[in-house]
Amino acid sequence: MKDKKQKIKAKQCPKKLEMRYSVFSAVCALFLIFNLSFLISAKAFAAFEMHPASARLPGRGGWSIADDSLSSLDNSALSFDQFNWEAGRVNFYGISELNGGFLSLQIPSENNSINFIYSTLKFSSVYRESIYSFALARPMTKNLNAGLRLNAYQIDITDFEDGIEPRTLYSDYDFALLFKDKYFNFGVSLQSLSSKSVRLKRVEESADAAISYGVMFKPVKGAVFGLDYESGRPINGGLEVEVADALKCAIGLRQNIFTLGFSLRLPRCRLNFSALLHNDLGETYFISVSGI
Amino acid sequence: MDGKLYAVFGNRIMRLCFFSSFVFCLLFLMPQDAAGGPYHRISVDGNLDEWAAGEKIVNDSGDGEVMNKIDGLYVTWDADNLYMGINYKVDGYGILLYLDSDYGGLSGQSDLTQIDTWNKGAKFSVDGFKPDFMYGSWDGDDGNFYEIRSSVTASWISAPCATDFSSDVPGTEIAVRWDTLLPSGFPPGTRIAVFAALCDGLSLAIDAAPNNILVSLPDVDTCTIVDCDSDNDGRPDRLSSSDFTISSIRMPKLFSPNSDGLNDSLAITVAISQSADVQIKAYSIEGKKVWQATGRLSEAGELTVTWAGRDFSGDFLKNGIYIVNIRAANASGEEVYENKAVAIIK
Repeated sequence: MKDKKQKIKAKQCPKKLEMRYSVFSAVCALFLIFNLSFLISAKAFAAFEMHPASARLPGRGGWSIADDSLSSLDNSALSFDQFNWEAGRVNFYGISELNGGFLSLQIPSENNSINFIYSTLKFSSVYRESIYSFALARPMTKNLNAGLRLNAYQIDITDFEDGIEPRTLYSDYDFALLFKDKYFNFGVSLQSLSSKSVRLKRVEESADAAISYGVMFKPVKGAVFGLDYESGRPINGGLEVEVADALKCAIGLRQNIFTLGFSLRLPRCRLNFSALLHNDLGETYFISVSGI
Repeated sequence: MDGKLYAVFGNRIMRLCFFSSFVFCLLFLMPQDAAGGPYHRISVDGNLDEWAAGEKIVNDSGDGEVMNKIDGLYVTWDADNLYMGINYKVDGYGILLYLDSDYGGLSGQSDLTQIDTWNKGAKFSVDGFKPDFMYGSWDGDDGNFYEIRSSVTASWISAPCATDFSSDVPGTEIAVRWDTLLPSGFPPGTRIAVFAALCDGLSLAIDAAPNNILVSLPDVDTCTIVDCDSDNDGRPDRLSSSDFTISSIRMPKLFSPNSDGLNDSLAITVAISQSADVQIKAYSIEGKKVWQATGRLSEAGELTVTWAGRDFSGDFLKNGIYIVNIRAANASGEEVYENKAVAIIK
């Protein structure tokens, strides 16, 4: 009897250790992030503020830090079970000269998940912002993912006066943690790390690092809602509900803009649409096609 | 089996709850305009200079703006209120305005010779015109609004009224809520009728708008009818003046507010087809307002406003794309807007 008890105890030990190790790493990570948050100020650079990477995310308010399925520029810790892609376009506030486009790929591998995003925002022929972003996510424990994203930024400006840099390139990286559970997720994302000052003409501007937190709740199958918070900015939040087997509807608030969206499953693809309804500026429309 | 059924239906019910909240939020947050927003909101101050020409329903042009004469009657509305204006001046006299809120309907009184309030011997012989409300003011005071409850009683009701004889377009303005005038709702095809007359200490006298056809005051054989719901949709009609547009906006696509003397500010030139109040606002691409200016065009033409690329606190804005929102409102309350993008490169 005593031998049997000892055998069971011996079997449980590695599991207990593994659990303790997970909790310890999660606590350490959170402690590190908590401390870092005091050193990080809000983003100062106004370029790349609203780069599209998905048409489903804006419809539910744009929150994505704790999301566990859709690729975004804010959540590098996202891991995938299956290959997915999304390509789409956006028109801002009905201004025909102000458009954006994006392409994202979610590639699962044995231990890691790879996410590539190309996103561009173009204003007529005079100004263009582009991001090339590559993320690697890795499960640390059963519930905890860590992710690293490398971003390369490009700003093209027409040569409208002396001293303008017609092409500016710079880069930075993001680090994110995503804790996943059955009913809720929690995520934290450290963005624009190691970015340097950028000069487009005469004045140097810093693209300061930022820290964002997100939660996602999954109260029932087919319904999710979540929030993203970044210091000094309004909260993004919203919900997405699968109202029929092939149709998902979403509403939300993004930077105080009311958002709406739907996603319709078609044979072999999914059609996604979102509208951001601004009180004064009118509507911004996102449309995309994705794999799943 | 039961557990499976509960799982399936429980989940469906929860999803239904979420969807209901989705629809509720959709309706709750729907832009006010789509739910019947204001058409022309009048500021009730007794100065009638903000009324559009099309809102003058009686033009007593033979009188002119002279003392103890009524020059015109104005009517307009928004989703909440009916506004009435009387262009006149008096010295030692009063004015009465009679309103039938359901012209052609059964309610109201045609004989007010026994009424206990503002009894000026009025008797109405126009088919369908039975006033159920009246306004009275003596010698330029702000006056009061009354509901005519029977042929002998009228009771005061709360409605903003103001008189100003010192303004460019002198007279009285009155605002009354639709739900005061029509407590059981706005019936499709609603028509109102109005009549105004000056009075002395005893009876209606001197001048009226519209002018009587055959009889003499205090008898009344005319009124002016206004169709408030010509499309029979059960809502006050939207007022419109179709040629009101922003004809053009001229502004550069980039500027560089960095104090180097080159393109340091943005000149925004707006051409508008009518006189209008103009608001120009700048937003970040995320939709956050960063700057605002206002201007007024007294007639069709151009207005130029300059933006120095600074925010409300006077700091230079960061590099990036900004949206300039130009919004113009004419005297009828019709509003048009246009968005333009601009890039700040410092």
